[in-house]
Amino acid sequence: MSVQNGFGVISKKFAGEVFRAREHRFLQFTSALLEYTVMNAISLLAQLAPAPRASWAPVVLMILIAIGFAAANLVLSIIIGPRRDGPGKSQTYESGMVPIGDTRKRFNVRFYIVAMIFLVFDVDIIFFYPFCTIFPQTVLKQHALAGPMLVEMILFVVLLLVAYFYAWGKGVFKWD
Amino acid sequence: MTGYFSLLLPELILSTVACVLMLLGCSMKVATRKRVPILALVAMIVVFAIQLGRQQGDNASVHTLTDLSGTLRIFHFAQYIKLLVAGVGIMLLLLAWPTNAEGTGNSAMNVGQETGEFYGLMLLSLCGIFIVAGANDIILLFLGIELASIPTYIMVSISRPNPVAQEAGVKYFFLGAMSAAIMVFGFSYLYGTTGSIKLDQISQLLHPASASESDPAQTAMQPWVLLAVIMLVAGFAFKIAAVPLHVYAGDVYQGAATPVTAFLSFVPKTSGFVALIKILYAVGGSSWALPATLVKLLWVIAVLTMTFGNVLGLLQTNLKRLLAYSSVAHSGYMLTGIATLAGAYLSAGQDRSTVQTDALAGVIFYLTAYGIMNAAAFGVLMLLPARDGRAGTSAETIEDIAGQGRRHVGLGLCMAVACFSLIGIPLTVGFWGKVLLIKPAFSGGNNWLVVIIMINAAISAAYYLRIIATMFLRDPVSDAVEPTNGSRYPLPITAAIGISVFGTLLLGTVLPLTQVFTTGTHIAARIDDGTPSPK
Repeated sequence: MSVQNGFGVISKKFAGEVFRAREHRFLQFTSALLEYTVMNAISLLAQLAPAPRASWAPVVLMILIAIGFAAANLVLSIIIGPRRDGPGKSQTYESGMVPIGDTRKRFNVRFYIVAMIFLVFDVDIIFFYPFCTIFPQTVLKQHALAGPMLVEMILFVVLLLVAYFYAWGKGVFKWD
Repeated sequence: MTGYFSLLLPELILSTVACVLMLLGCSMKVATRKRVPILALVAMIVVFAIQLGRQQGDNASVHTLTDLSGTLRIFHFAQYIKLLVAGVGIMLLLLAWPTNAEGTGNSAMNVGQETGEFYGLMLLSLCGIFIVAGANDIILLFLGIELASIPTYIMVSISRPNPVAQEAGVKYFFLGAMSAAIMVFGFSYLYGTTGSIKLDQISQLLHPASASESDPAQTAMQPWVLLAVIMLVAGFAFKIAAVPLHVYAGDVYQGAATPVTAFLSFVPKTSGFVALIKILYAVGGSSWALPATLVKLLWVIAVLTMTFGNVLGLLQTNLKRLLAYSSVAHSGYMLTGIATLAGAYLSAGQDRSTVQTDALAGVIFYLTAYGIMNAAAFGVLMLLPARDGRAGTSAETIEDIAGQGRRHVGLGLCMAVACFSLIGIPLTVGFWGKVLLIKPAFSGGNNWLVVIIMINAAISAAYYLRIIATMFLRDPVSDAVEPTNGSRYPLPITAAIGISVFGTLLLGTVLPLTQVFTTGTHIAARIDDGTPSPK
């Protein structure tokens, strides 16, 4: 049975819950096995530390694990990953819109500049969030750092405003 | 413990003025563009004066300044580096002065409307080294190095409307990003093995106070720490253009406008050396107990950097490229000092700490000497016209300067002084720089290093003397065009050359003055007094 929608035909089997559970158990098992092996190997190698050449073994092992992890993920997803291609799935994802035309076309440079301005305000939220969770506690406990923290945050906001006013002055918001 | 404000005063001044300059950059008025460098210069002079006031003698009552969380630790080393950077920064700022009628650049540089931004970036980059010098936190240290580097990528690109400059900027940016990635990877291992981001705590963890000071076993280093330090050395080697990470230097230095090239040859290099010294101090402890592997690595890098820089310098016909490789070679000379410093624990017996102090003082003195003498060479190139006579271009190739020493005698003599100093001929500051590097290398038992420095100085003489010979002995190429726009010798650029030449000669000939600087660098060789950080 299949469903017709705006993007083409999508198989109902795509939900594939039976397969997913099996895959999940398999992955759990392999990761546990891998963890056990690596932990043992590291503790074994740590005992060899006094010997100068053997003491590099953890570094080599680390590099091997890094390469092996990347390669294993690629290989595993090829082997055990379900592959049910359809015209709907191979289509470009455009935030839920039906894609129009080619992606290799020129955009107005304004979009780039607007994206940069977005970053100015996007980054500050990342910084505000931890600040807001910590700051009330420092004030309540009358910690010595409460004052400097507030000053630093105000400085940070002022710096962001400088970036904003700079962009304004350079005419970024003039949208002709 | 001192307040944040007073500890960070120079950095705050520089970054605030940089922000103001950025905002002024929005203005399209010529008058604003003309005022921008004045504001930048005033800020630099104020910072220089503050730092001059903060220099302290060898006084037992002076302790490391630190803030509440121990993120900054400032002692003689940091104070001296800040003074040096402020002083050389003034000279580099004068070299980049916009002297033309529109305030968009000078004979060698054209930043278009972006004069305000250019100076703002310059101050931010200088502020970066201030932060590197004061940082006790590996995160702040990394941010400082990047603050010193990232503005230079933009400065290279906007310094002239020329595809070569764009190419240089992009090349520098991508390679710089890669080196930053290696560096931050190294920092992550340093944190992973020690569990601390504070340099003084890392030092205490790796070298507990109970351990014997002269025990060779102190130099033993866990492989993870060694790996971290090697990655950090690789990252810093890019900033100081050391072999094998020197390959960008030629293209980038040639592509950038001449004042920016002068800036590149000092600022990223200083940030790299300061960071390298601080990291070696952190992992080696106050007795610089570093493993033989690391010493060998530094030794090999130093020798390769000197030799490659000088041999490649011999082959160049573009003067900016030649000065780029000369800058690589000078990094090599300074690295010999670092190699001596790192090796002293294992090789120099009783007078170990003397050798270490001398070696570090030698490196700091050479950095000072290089900053002073290098500006003149670039300044003279800026004032000599290029053969093709296009506006906004100055001398670049060896053909351009043929016979110009006879036409512009003053500039020719200035170039001669700069070149003699870069070779290390007596009566110049370059000579004392080399002497002070060779002395500890010799007493530290690095005789081969001394021999290699001497051979390299001889090789370098060939291409520096070729510059002087071309300027004075060859006939001018007939199609040389004199610049027509503006004054031939603009005051700010001449002033920078003047400071550089007089500094080179005075520090080379007036021995009491040299003595002041050597004493200063010996005091500056004290990085930390070991007062515990606040918890």
